[in-house]
Amino acid sequence: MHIKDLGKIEFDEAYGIQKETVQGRIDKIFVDTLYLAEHEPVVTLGRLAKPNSVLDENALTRNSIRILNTDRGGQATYHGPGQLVLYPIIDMEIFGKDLRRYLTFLERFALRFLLKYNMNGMRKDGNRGVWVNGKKICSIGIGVRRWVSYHGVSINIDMDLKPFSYIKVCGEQHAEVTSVAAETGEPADFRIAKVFAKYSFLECYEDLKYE
Amino acid sequence: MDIKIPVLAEGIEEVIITLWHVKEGQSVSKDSDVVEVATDKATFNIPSPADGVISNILHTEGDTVKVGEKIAEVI
Repeated sequence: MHIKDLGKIEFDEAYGIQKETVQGRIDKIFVDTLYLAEHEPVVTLGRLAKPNSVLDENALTRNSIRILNTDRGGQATYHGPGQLVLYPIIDMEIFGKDLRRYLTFLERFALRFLLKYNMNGMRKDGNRGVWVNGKKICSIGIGVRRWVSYHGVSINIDMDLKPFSYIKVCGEQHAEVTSVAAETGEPADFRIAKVFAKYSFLECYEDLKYE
Repeated sequence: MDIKIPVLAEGIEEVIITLWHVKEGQSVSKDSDVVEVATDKATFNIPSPADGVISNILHTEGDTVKVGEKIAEVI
């Protein structure tokens, strides 16, 4: 697996890189690839977003937070500095071409990542993502083309959580959100978070060979 | 040839059509994206099963359709 840190990058630019990589993966020019990224403030609307997914458009404008439509699954989410975003471009043959197995894999990765901080994440029945103490810390939304994945996972590391209140997070009216820093009560180093994320992802990915 | 909703995962029985990439009468090549569907936090692009022309689109964006159901033809 190839892992590349895109650093701080606009959402649209990272999306363009993903689409090119998806085509390269379909054409078997590239191996499975994991991109790590951090975005400038942006609200993205998935394909199943509703007219009321944005609760306070004025607040978004006031804070220079753009709203973008995207082709991922799910509804609305927020990305901003201090949130780690992972974009796995993976040939889903290794998940038996089963979307649910892949989504469950992404949750397993997030749970393993949180364990590095001695945090116990939880899943919720009927709702994708990972929660800590009842608050959402990780959101998931993917796209698939020719059984190659794009879009992915975001995990709140150490960030301003206020912008989440301007939207219905994944369709939930009063979804409480949290971050690694908020739960541990101390600042969380973003570089260390990226190292933890790389290792956690590789561990889960390697595990697939033995399932 | 019929374009049908493929099996996307164990337990997923229906999907929502979110975007038609093509119109009736449009030429398509095998494996090019025809329609995007959504389910369970995922979107999935269904490719054309053959070279040809799209005809007989049976559902519009926003429709819920069952796995295995025919949604269009490529002739």
